[in-house]
Amino acid sequence: MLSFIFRRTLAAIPVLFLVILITFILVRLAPGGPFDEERNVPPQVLENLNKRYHLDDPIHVQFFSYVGNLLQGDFGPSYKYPNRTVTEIIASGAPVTIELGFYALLFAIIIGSAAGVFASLKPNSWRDYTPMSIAMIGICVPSFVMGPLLILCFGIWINWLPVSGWGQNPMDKLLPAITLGSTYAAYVARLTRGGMLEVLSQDYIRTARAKGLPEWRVISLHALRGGLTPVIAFLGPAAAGLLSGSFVVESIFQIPGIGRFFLQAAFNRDYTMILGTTIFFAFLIIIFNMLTDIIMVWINPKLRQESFGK
Amino acid sequence: MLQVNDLSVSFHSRLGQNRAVENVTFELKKGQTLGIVGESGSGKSVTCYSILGLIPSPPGHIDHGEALFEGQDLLKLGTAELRAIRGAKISMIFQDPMTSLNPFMRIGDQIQESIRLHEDISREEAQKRCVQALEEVGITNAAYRMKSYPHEFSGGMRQRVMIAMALATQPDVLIADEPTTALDVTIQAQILRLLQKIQRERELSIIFISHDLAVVRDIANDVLVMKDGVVVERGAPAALFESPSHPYTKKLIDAIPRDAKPWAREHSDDAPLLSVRKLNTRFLTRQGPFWKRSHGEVHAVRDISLDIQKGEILGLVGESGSGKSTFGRSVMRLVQAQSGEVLFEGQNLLALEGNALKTARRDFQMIFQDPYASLNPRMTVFETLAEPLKLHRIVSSAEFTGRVNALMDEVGLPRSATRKYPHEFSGGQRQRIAIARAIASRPKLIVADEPVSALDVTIQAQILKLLLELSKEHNLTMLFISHDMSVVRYLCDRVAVMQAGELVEVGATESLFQSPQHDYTRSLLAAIPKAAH
Amino acid sequence: MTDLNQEKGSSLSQDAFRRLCKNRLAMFGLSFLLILIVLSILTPWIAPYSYEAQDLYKGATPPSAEHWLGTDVLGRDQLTRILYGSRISLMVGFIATTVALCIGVLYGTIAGYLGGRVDSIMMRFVDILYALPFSIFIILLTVLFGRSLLLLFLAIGAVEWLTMARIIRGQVMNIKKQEYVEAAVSLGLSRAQIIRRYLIPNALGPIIVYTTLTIPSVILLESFLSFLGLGIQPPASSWGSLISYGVETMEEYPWLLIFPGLILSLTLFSLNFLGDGLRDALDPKASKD
Repeated sequence: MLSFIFRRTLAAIPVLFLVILITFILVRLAPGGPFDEERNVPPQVLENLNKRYHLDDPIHVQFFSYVGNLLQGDFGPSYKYPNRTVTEIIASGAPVTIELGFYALLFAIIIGSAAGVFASLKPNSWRDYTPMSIAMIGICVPSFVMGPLLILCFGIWINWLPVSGWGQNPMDKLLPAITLGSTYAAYVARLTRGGMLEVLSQDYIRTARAKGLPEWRVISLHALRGGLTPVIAFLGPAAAGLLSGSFVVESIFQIPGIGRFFLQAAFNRDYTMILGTTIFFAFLIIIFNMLTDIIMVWINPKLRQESFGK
Repeated sequence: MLQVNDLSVSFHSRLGQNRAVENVTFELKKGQTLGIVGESGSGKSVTCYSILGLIPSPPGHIDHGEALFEGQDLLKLGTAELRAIRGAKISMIFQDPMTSLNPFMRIGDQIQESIRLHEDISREEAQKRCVQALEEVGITNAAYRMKSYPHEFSGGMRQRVMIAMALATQPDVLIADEPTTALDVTIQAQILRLLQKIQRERELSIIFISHDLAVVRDIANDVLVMKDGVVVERGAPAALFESPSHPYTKKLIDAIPRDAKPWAREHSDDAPLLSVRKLNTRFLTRQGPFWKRSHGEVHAVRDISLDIQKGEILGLVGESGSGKSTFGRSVMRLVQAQSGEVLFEGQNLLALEGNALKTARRDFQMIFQDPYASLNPRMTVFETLAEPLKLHRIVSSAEFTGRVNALMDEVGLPRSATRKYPHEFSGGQRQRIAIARAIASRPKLIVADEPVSALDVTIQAQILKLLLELSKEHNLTMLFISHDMSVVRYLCDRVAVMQAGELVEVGATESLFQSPQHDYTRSLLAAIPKAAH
Repeated sequence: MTDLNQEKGSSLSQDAFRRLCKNRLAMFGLSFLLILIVLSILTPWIAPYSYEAQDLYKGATPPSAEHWLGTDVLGRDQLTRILYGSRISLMVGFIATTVALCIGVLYGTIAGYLGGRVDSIMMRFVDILYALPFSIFIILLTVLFGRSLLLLFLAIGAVEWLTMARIIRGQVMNIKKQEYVEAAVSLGLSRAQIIRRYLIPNALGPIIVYTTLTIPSVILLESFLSFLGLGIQPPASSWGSLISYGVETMEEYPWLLIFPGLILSLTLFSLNFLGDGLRDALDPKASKD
């Protein structure tokens, strides 16, 4: 078990390295340096700036010293906020983004799988069509339309919920989490329904019924495990989607998460900041993919024995 | 024990109402076995499922009838009351033990779930009962095996687990739905013996559903023959076999191949048409997800040498995994053999490449097992049959229609059907199309890989007859691969027996059936149900 | 049972088309899309106002007989702007999907057909790319190299082809295993013939379905980028940038948010309904009985 997780972790390292490499190269290839916009910088000052940030070293030296610093948790200084390091900025934004993503994922899984199971129990009836139509709305109304509409409805027209901020009011996390999670709740519902229908047509469900098990136990003990497998496989991609979705939601609801810093950095050409946030996001996504893989193997006895040994 | 009266079940769909079971009446006596025989769609399974309320409803609906068990009508019970009987008093086992056991649960947990559902006993007690149940069906080291998952058992063992699970609650009635169909013949014989033994010990009543009349004859005290939802005949198996009164029963009995080949081939001492020398085929297997691949090797065909005379039908028999199919595909150059020679009229097929191979393929063709998968669903029958004609320039394009029509005549399909697509035909008709395609280029050799095992018994008999006639008419040489000894006996001049990739015995059909030399051949022959002798 | 006296058979695709025609939602989607496509193509000729025409005195007005969908803060006609936006959004959707389709079909077919070691290496490569945070890379690319349409096509196409390749490889592997392909091999057909007559016709259904379902996700991705201000550059606008303007002023002028949002959602609905309808119609399980 431990050795499997260890191997899987080892396999993630080259991917992370690749991400760092690609990002680093892209950023360096981009036209225009970070100090270009400050027009009146004398050449001497520019040279000093470049020296200070080691921009005059050969690119491979820069890269390896950057990776070396990364390993110690140092993402380097921010070009635009010279008095703050990228590490500090990430450390201040990351908990907010992760918390938002967590609530959204929780919302997506709970609502989505409940709706999917409900729909699968009586396929092609109103009990199937109703939740699935709602899911279709969730898929077709993207978060950057859903969010503003929710704000209009619940925040402005009927003044029930706070529409911006984070942590000042216990209710202010509700709308952002729903906005971010709605699309994924819809996908989860569709995946759950599909998975459940597939499993419910399996012979072993017939066996369970022939044993005399009540229907709720057939569903919860025998069907759910196989039926939710596609949902678990979806968690990796969902995490990636949630992170990029958080850009939009954080800017709509003015939440001080890492997504907003990333966008600011992108517009300011704050290269160390872009590099740092990209790598941090990639790190999160890779971790999530890894967890998904491990859970997928864990819940399938056959794969488990092949991968973990007995 | 169980008395079913006048049961009718129908299925409602958008296209209308479809009677699946009509006015079925039967009685199951204590300690006896009732066999229900019929082909697919005859309603034999629906009958039993509806007694236990296991048909999906809607679309299924029980129109009328009663099922009396211990003085109550099962059809009138509420779901909770019915559940108390299901699995406790009346248990079921199913055809495919791999898919019928929950792959995510340890088998011990599945069995204990059943016991504790119906009896109020402690976990330890249930565990003890589970071990007993597993031991009863002949699973050794039961206390340890309880912790295994279904995929860790072989097919036969899994069916034993199913039986243990069904019987652990001490039911009075066992409904067995095609319990041996998915199993190899020798395993089938073991499972049947096990069922009979348990039945004697427990005075269990069994309803045995099967498509195989021969198997039912061996095991049942009483037989119902069903066709299109109706019971067409009933009676003691021996009497039924001796003097079937309904034409359908007669047809079913006649469909059991139990005779020797109707005519003997004249023996010739010519050089063999096909001569296989020391053929070896190995597969690399990769298992597990990419981060942990275990590379293994399956040696599917080991050093096999075999001759087929011109005009001869050679049967190649063996159980699943014996390598018989791989042998056929290696000869056909569908899989790559590692070493050896396949001499076809003196030419080594394994050495041919490119155009030479393409030209040679005209002379050896194949018939596949699954007629649903072996025809391109996007091509009409005409396109399918004209393809080999065009490819090998057998006739000019002006003659395609005439030639295709002639092929349709030969395999007994109407000429008017050539513009249709495969999905518009039944399984038997599709297999006829596949046969027509195989003989279109007038090949000298045909490799037939289980061509009848996916078909219903009466259809199977028709296809076998067709193959026999074609082989006589065109003096076809055939390698006939099958798991079914009776079919092989009916069709083949000589038989080769394979086990675990090796050839264990070859001989003229009748002498091999009369005096088998190898132990394995003997066990295969012993597994044939008596009715087929 | 089949009636053998009937002369002409009906092919699977004819059956599928008949089923699709019966699916009302899919037909609604198809009609909506066709209308939208025709309108977008004809926009320069039929648009009621010019794209740039401002009327600062008028400012933002709600929908009226004069301006069906109202005007924005600069007094520009909203209907005209949405129509021009449709041109860009639909074009990005179709072209980027085509890019993804071409790469994905080629890559997936080669991997699936050759199988064995080539396949494992090719799919391993896809696995690695899959693990990369592409949505972030796209943002990065548009930030670093400016916001050009071409880059957008390439970037989106480069992400979407991965799934396409996986699906097509799965299809090809599956078809290759079918006995009818073995039958074709034993007839002596060449590889090219087998690919043309056996593989492609049988893989076409799922490819069509998946393509239909890829277009909405591409449109969504483009709108997402434009919403963030990273996609289409002003003065050109796509649905995403219109929505983004709408959000800024939604408290006073909600119609500036609602109409572009509505048209985007309706398009996504239509494509998804059509895709689902096609999948149901082409499902081989349904066509067996």
